[in-house]
Amino acid sequence: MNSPVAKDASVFEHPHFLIFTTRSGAQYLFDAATLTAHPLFQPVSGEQCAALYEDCDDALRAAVAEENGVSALCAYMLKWRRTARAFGASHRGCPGRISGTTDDRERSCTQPLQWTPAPSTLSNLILVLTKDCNLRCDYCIYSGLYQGFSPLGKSFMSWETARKAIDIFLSLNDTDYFRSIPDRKLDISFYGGEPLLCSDMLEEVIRYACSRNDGRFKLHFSVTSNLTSLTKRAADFLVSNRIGINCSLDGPASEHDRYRRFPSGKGTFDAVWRNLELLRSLDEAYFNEQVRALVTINGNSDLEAILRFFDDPGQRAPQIAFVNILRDLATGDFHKFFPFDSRRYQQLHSSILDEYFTRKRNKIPVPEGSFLYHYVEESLIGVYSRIMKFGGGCQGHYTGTCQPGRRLTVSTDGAFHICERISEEFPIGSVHEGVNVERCNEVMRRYAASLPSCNNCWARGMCHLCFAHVGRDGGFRFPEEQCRFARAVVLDKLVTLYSLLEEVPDALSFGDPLVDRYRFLDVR
Amino acid sequence: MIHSDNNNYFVFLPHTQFVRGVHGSVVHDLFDGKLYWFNRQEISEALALLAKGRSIEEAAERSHLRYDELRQYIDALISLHVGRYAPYPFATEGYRPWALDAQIKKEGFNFQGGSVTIELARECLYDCEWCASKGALAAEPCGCFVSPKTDTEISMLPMERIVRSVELLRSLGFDRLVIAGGEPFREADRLWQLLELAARLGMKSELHTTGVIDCEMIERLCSFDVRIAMPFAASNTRAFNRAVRHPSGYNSLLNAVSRFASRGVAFTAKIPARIGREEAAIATADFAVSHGAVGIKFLVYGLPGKHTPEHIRNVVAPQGPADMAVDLRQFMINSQRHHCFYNALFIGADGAVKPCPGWKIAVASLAEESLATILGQGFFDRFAATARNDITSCSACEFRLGCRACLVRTIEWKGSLDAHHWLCSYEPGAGVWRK
Repeated sequence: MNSPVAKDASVFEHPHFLIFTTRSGAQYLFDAATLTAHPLFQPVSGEQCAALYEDCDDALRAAVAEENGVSALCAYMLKWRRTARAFGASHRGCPGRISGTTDDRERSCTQPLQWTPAPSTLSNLILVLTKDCNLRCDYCIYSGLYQGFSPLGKSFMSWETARKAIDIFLSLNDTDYFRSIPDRKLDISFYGGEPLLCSDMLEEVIRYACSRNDGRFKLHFSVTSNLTSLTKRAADFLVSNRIGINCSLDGPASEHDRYRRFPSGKGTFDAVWRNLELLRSLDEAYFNEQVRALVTINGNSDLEAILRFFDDPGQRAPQIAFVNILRDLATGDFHKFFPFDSRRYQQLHSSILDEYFTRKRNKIPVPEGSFLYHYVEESLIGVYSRIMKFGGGCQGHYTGTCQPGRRLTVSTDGAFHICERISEEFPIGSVHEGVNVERCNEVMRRYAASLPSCNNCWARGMCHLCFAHVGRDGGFRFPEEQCRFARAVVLDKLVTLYSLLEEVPDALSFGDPLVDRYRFLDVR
Repeated sequence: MIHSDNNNYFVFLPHTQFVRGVHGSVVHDLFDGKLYWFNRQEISEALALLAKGRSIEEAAERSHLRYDELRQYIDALISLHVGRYAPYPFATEGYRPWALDAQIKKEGFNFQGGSVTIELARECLYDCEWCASKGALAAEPCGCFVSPKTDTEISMLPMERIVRSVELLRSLGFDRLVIAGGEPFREADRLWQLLELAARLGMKSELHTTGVIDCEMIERLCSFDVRIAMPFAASNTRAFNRAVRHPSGYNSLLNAVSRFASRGVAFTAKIPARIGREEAAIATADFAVSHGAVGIKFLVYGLPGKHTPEHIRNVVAPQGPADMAVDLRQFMINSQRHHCFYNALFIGADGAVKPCPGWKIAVASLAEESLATILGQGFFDRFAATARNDITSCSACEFRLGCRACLVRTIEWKGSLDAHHWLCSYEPGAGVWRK
């Protein structure tokens, strides 16, 4: 879900808070420092709230004593300031994420960005086997439309590079720290270009990794593929070894073929579908467990047609792993060349939301793997889980970026990168030197130094921007347009989330028992 | 009181939490550490419906209450500042865990710190009657986690293994090191090493000692940023020395106390309180405070053969709803796991690894495996997941998230985790407090 809502009088943005209005007309005050949303029981203007945020505790106490129109709100604010450091308490001399001076801002940005291993560190190795591809999709990251990404090329990973990458990955994991994590699972993924163009190499690497691992870790392999070049032999290997497949599939032929094409311009849907059927015919259980669709949404997508396609059991489409909304629909590079009608997209988006709300209201399940789950619910859960974690807003660093080294992407030349989505201008090591922690820190420092005035942005604890979004031309850039869009995305999610929770308070049973069972702490 | 015809909903404020049991319900004000109990099924049902966003009218109808009657209860809640009338069914999130379950699974211990207790020595200079090694019945361990005496001599865990374990735990987020015994000064070399390690790793340290230490060691101890806990067995020489069965225990303690006080080192007094002699314990506490103790911890205990767990229960059990009020931190810990097991680990002198010092049987042994291997096998998951809601006998109780009774003692004295809690004075099915 990535559609900015139109801002109107119902929204008030302030550096330290946001006032938003849900579908029912209820108003909430969202506190940026604590990521908590508070009902506004009586109409309060944004300007009044801003003044209360600036007021010291004594001024608020005086307002309570006066028993004026906002005295109840002031009493409430005082209580939250005292205990949770909300409502401006944290930018009044207290340590916290909001601070006034540049020095403070930099310190609060850089301190959490010291590279430290976390359990999720180094749990995912992504091998870019080739930059070559048999397709020429218009919105491909290597199509040449995106700054910082070179077009598709003929480079292939050598066996020696792949072998070294596996060795380094397994040895980096062979430490006391990682061994102490129960049931640690390591993912090894193959990426491209089109990795199935190197299916022999892929098989060799999997065999080698298994032999080197020798049962120490639970290894899981997966391939991200367009699936048009799948051979029977490769299919047999993938099925017999239970290798996961993430297949690019944007919906029905009319949607998929719009931008996913062979160099001749012909759509690829038929070829993909034929190979999906091949995998299904080899082992249906495998197909249901291991084959997933990666759906890319663009401004011209017919969201309703995509919903129908994946929802219709008669279609027998694979379950969805991820819905990728083309990088910043409003600001992205692709749509500069392929414009879209934002009003039409907004209408379709609203219609999908209506459908989602209807199902939730009527207790119709929205299962993981469905389009509604990945287009709507997953992002709501992301916001909800940040909100539900107490003090979430006071921890971690600005924006939604990860720590370099969590995953390790190896490009065809053997360089290590932060992830498969970032341009290759920020390497953090190589198969020759291993992971260079100092370079990881350097990337984080540069990122922190490039952050705009996040201290004065109410969305700082919910922002989705990361290295991959803003890394270009050898540096990290945060154009105001992109920040504005990021704020709009968060606003949209908050409005949708709280509208949903008003209507269906227990709508988001997202599998976390700590939240699900305590939502109302009802008797079991 | 704000309510008009447009205010058809009642909304609990985000810092409150409604908890329902089979009979009654409570509303926790987590910021003020207060609790409001509703001992009537119809009201509990109505409040649950209101918490789920139903209108006041619907809640009254479905719970078979008169509308005006429900309004009276709501007015009372509003006057207590736990909720408000509203024209909309506002969505408010009361309970916010510190860490989500998914995060706990993913990050293991790696959140909000943690505490590792090291039993540095088994031997002790004292022979206290409340000592766990003598089978005393105590509500909780006194801090000297002496394991029951055995005929066989134990082999001490190599120091290198202890150091590596503490370093690993630090990298997992543990930030507190508790050094206990017996008497840790029986292994003074190891003690200094551990204190230096804690300082190097930036961990807070706490030392449980008898206080029978020579001046040189006290001076050296003062150079560390360590919190000290010592037993104050009585307020006069004779009673003290008799209680700990040491001829110069009292004088040694006063010597240590005066030196700590002169150097500004804070210490906590552990006050044994034998069943039936509570007044003497209070007098001892006054004595400890007058000598500079900054914290007091009572250890209620009974003698084997003379007292039963019921005797202890009568002294320490909560007497009513007011005793079940908790603040935000305690509520969060209680709702995520058992508060004793909150990021806690115990390493015995022989390498026994347990989730809690009171736990009788070791989960694993550091003498045989590395801590990384032990943690990697997930032994501690069951303790991490043991919250009040997971205990059958507690899940029906509306006070379950305000309860701080020791789970280990329940298992020890009642034989089962699911047994009615040994410290419990409340009957959730009937909604009554036992005397």
